[in-house]
Formats: sequence, structure tokens, C-alpha cells
Amino acid sequence: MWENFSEAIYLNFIKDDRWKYYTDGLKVTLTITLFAVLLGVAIGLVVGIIRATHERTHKLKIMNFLCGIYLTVIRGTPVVVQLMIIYYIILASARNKIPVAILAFGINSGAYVAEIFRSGIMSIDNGQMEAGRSLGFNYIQTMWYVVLPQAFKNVLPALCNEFIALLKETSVSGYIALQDLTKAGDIVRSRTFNPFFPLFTVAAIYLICVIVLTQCIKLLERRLRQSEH
Amino acid sequence: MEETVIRFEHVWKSYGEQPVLKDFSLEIGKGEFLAVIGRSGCGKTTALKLVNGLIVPDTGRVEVKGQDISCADPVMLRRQIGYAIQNVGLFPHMTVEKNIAYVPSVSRMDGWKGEDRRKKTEELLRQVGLSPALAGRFPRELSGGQRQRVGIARALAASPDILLMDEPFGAVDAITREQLQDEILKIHRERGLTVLFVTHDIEEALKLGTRVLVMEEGTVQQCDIPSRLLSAPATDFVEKLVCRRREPEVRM
Repeated sequence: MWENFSEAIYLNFIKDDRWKYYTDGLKVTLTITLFAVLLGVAIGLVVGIIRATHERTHKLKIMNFLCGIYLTVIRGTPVVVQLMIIYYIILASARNKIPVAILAFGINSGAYVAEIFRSGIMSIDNGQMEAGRSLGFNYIQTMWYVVLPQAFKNVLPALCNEFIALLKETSVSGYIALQDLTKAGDIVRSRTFNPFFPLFTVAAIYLICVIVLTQCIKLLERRLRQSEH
Repeated sequence: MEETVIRFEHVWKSYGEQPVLKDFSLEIGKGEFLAVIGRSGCGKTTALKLVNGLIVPDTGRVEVKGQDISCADPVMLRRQIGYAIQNVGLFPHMTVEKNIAYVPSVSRMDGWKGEDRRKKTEELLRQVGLSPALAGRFPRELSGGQRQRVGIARALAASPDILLMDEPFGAVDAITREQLQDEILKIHRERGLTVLFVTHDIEEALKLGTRVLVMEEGTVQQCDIPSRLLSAPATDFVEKLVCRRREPEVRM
């Protein structure tokens, strides 16, 4: 029993430095997730503000229409398909796959983040906007200094869910032959011909990442709440 | 009347099919305290928001200090006009000091830098009858009356000469309301402000207003000094509004 186990450890992690597949894969997964989150928040912020502004003031008709198309298309098609379309068609000449994946996952995440921000902005009483503007802020200043800080706090749990979902969604990066964490497990499995250890190792690493991320966001939430008291 | 500060000229405004203001014309002189009274939906809040351009008229024009506000820079316009609203409006994520000083200091207005900022905030807090020790508190740590006072202090921060108030004392108890009314009368006197004060309480309107504007369904019913409102109501609506108030006076 013990001998089997230690042999499995040797085969799965130590022989030919196979543990490096996991660490390298994790690095790729985290890199893609981090930058895709940043891109997604940037896109989501702009799109969310445009949508909320349209809802409140009925202005920005054309921009709102374009944002609507973006949301419908992105949320209506699988992220794997979007990833492959970007890699094989739109950026077919790209050499480095990581930026391609960041772009694909960022654009995808942006659509979901936009709806989160939109609902967050709409949850803030219109009196705040009126107060800010009547004091002499313009629309964008009021949005940035008054409405968004409050909206952000309200949507933080929803954003956290989105980031966790994104981290796990990057596991389809193997479709464009990117060696992320999932793909790393795959490679080891093809060497050892035993799926048990590679798959559970990969699952455990994802789980740890998600737990750490959840804790970080809990801390942030607590600090934001403190600033009110 | 002294020089006109705010002028409405044949203003029409509707939300969808529903007309809110019908051919609304009015002149407000410098230093006046105009109390605007009417039922919910009579257009009094709309009239108020037309003055600082939060609402734009369908037709007609609004002038502030002789300038058509549709041609004015809204940011510059609003800095001359303080605005205090019922209940909401304080920024919940900022301290009292920040609520008062934030917009002037972010906008880099004169006299709001560094140490000046604290001094000015303290001065404003004292003026509205609050202890400067409250500067570090958050709005939710204040009572309703204190919050209203901070709202007024904030509205006065940019040293406006016009003050718009939309049912500012609607959500506080009767005793606090009376104190706040006296406070605002004092501020009006000391600063020589022109005040537009929306209320649905006829007692309040008669107590505060140098003139009282009675509105109903988007039209002016009567606009006159309080005593004339009582002695010579122009329409049935005004009559009904003031009759309850008049009886004790007759007995006197």
C-alpha cells in the first residue's frame, strides 16, 4: 500500500521534475486570470456606466445599443468558442498565446462585470447624483467620486463570484494548446497513464486558489465596511 | 421689489404625457425668502430643480441673475446655488468634514486647501448650530436633525447667494424642526441669501416666507406676502389651504 503510494508520488511529481508542469501551469493560469480580471473590470466599468446612464437619463442611445449587442453576443456564446475564434481567426498570426487568452477571457468577463456594475449603480439613490451635481460636480465627477465608491461596495460579493468563476473558466485554455494548470495535469496523465493523481492535484490547487481569493475579498469587504463606522 | 435674481418666463414642462408646469412665470427678488407650497406632484420640486438646471424646461426660459441658464456653464451656475434636499443627499461613505469640503476642495476652489479646509468646515458647522467635534463622524452616526444641519452647511460651503431647499425639514420631529426653521431664518438674514424653500406644511410656509407661492397642478394660484394670503386668498384652493390656519388668528 505505502509502496504503491510512494511510487505514485515519485511518478507523478518527482520523476523528470514533473512537479514543474503544475507550478508552470499554475503561473500561466494565475497570469491569465489576473490580467483578464483587470481587463474585464475596465470594460465592465465603461459598459456598466454607459448602460446605467442610459437607463437614468435616456441619453447615449447609440453607445447603449452597441453595448447591448456586446452583452448579447458575449453572454450568448460559450467562452471556449470565443477563445478559439479569437485565437484561430481574429488573431491567427499571434505567436504568444497568453495575451490572446487574456484578451478572450477579459472580453468575456467584461460582459458579466458590466451587468454587475450597472445594477450596482442603479442601486444608489438618484439623490446622490443630484446632490453631487448640484454642489458643482459634473456628471462624470459625481459618478466617479460619489456614486461608484458606494456602488462598488454593494457589488463586491457579486464581483468576487465573477472572479472565482473566471479563474476556473481559464481551465479551457488547453483548447488553444496553452499549458495552463488543467493542461499540466493532462500532460502528466499522458505520461503516467493514471488519471487519479494528476486530476486530484489539479482540483486541489484550484480549490486552494479559490479559498485564498475568497478570504482576500472578505478582508477587503470588512475594511470597506469599517470606513462607514 | 429689489433686483430680480431668479426669473421664470412662460415655462412648460411635462414628464411624458403628464404636464407638470403650465405656463409658469415668476420673479424672485434679491434677499427674498420664497416659500413654495402645494400638494405632491403640483410641480414645486420641478420648479426648484429648474433653477439649478437639474431639469431643463420644454419651452420657456429660466434666468438666474439676468442670464438664461440654458446658455450658462452648469457647473459654474450650480456653485452659486446651494441645494439642500430632504433626508438623502449626504454622502454616506464620507465623514461630515468630507461631505462639506469634498466638492470645493476636489474642484480646487479658493480657500479650501489644507488648514483652511478644516477652519472653513468648523466655521460652517458652528453657523448651522453644530459642534465642530462632529466633523469626523459619518452621516449614519448623526441624528436626523444633525444630518439636516450638515446638509445645509454643505449647501452653504461654496458661499452661494441663492439657496434651494426641497422639504429639508420633512423628516425630523416637531421640536427639531422649529429649531431648524429659526436657524435657517437666521442664516437667511445674516448672509442676505435668496432662498427658495419647498414645503407641504402651510404653517412652515407662513412662518418662514417673506412671500409664499401656492401652486396647484402646475400653475401659480397665488404669490404674495403671508398676511395677504390669509386676508385675501385668490382662489378656492388657497382659501382651503389657509382656512384652518386663519381661525385661531381671528380668535386672537
